[in-house]
Amino acid sequence: MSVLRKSMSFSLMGTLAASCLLLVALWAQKADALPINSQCKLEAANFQQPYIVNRTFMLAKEASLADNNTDVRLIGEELFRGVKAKDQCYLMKQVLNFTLEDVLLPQSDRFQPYMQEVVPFLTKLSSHLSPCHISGDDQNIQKNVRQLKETVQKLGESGEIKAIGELDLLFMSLRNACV
Amino acid sequence: HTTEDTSGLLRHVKFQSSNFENILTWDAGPASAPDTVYSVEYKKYGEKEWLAKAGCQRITQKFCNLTVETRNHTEFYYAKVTAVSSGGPPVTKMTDRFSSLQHTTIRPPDVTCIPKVRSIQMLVHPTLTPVLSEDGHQLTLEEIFHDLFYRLKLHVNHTYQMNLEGKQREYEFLGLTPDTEFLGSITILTPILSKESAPYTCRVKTLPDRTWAYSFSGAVLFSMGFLVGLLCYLGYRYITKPPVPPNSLNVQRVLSFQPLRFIQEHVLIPVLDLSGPSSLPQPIQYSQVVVSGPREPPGAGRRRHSLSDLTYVGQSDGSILQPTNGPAQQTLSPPSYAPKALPEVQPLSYAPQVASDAKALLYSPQQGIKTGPATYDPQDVLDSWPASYAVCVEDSGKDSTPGILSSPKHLKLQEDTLVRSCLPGDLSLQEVTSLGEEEAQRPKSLPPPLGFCTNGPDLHTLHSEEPETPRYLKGGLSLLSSVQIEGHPVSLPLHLHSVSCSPSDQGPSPWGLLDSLVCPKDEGPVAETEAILPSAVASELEQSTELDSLFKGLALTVQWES
Repeated sequence: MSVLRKSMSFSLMGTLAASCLLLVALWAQKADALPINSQCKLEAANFQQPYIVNRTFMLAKEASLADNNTDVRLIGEELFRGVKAKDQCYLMKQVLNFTLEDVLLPQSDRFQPYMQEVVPFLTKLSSHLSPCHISGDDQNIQKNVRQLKETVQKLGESGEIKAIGELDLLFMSLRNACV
Repeated sequence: HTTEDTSGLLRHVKFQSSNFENILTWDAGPASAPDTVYSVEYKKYGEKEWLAKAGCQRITQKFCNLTVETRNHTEFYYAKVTAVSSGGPPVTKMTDRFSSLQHTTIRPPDVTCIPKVRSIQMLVHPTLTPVLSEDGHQLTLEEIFHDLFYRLKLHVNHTYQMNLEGKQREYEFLGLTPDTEFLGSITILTPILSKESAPYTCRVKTLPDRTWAYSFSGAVLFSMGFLVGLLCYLGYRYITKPPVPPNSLNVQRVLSFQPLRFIQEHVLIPVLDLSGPSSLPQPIQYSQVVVSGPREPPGAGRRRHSLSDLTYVGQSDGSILQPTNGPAQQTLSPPSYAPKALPEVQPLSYAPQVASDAKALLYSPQQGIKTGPATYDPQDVLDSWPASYAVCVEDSGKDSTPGILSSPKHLKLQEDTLVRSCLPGDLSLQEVTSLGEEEAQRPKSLPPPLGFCTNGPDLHTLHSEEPETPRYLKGGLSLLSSVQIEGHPVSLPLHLHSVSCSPSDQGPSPWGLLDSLVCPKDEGPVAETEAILPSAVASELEQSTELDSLFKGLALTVQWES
């Protein structure tokens, strides 16, 4: 009789242990999923401010007038090639950070007074997206961003002007991907 | 650029976009020659090749529609125009980067303004665009601009206006003054891209308040309906009204017919009553008739002849036919006799009348002789008619008086009848039957026509009763005497009828029969008188009073005849 009791207790303990392991595993999966979805989002109100939207578009227009190269487009179909819809916001975050650091900062003295109003707006959006990360393979994303960077660098100053000329495309793409 | 841009030939190359309809326009430069022609090309931003626009090559007008080529509102486009003039190199000029989503302007909406009495309703219709969705259907402005809304204003006067905003398409301004003009405007707005359409304006006037008019019209309609109903009712009554009956069906005739019918109905009822009791005695009377036949064969034969004579006299028209069918009529006569047995039986109960009748018979022969020649003459016969009528009338009047007076009346009548009965024997028999009938009628109050009808059967029944019992014989004699008195009026019309039909034939035959009948009747009454004398003393007293009344009556009758 004592032997039977011991065997029963062991089986029960085993079952409980297995159940706990399953629960922990499920919880871990949910924890991984929730942060990605919730952090790669921007409020729609950020894109519904008529004044700043107008300033951004005016800045882009003025820069595009200085861009005579109509054959090259930085933010277009090639940028989103191979990227899943749910990862497009992370992609645009990378482009936004590149534009702020490598394009707008060196050209901060040009295209005034629009430049001084648009840069803070874009900086705020970038800070809202700082927690945005993805799990899994991001090779395509990194590849496409790298190609954009190379094009700008290859074109030199005209590349920087082109990037500023496409701020309206950047704005619309961020809204479509992150809202 | 392949060629340098010179403002001399070409300038102001740009897209004009409204509701996503994209038109490329340009202006000619001051150095442009009249023979200058233009060619248009377009490309997407980021592509290397330029595409020539079909229909816009070497044209002279200064615009080109590129809506179809640039309909993707998320794309950016470039277009360029090349001007070629004779004597000079071609000049090309490119547009700025074009995005229809950013650059298109919004036209005023299509609105319907509906004025009411105290409000104005505005209906906004959706605006379609050339932009296509992924499945190929045209998109509306609301589908492209998710933040689009409408702003409505209503100018009441220079200082006051009403405002409404919203995304719905139906609006209504309430609380307005009737019969007043207002100015309304509707604008489309898209705040994100800061787009605002030109306003659509409508000048509308509210309807006048015609509540009183509706009330008045309601009253008018009601009254008209009432009139129509009234006319329908009158028409219905007119149609259903019975037409005036023609003269042939006037009220008088209708009234005249109705009483006749009622009278007939009343007459039928007593006949049924009579037929009821008569049905019972019929078999008894038949047996009596049969018994009398074999007892007195010669008398029966004579009686049969008398029966036939009676029928002749009763029905002058039918008498001619009856002789041929004599036996049949004789057989038919018994049923008619049966119902009258009851009235004959009743007179037997009147014993005192019998005594008076017997006394009257004693005086009758003398008077009869005197009146004989008068009856033979036709003029006398005519005179006797009114006399008989007078007697009847007097009798009816006297009957209404107390019983004492009634007895002398009977005596007078009896005397008259006795006088007449002596001469015409047959007639006397008829009179006897008629008197019997009258006596029966008085207590029963039967109408006179019935009396005339029952002449024949009474005679037959009397004959049958006499041979059976002496009492019945006595009763019969008394009845005969009473009938004689009243017989005069009855006999006279019978004679007249016979004379009118066939005086020559009927004249001798009835007289012969009468003569034969007179003899046996004369003997009968004498025997009766002898029997009555020893009956009682009281009867003698009554006879004295009766004699007085008889004398009085005799005097009256004699005077009339003269």
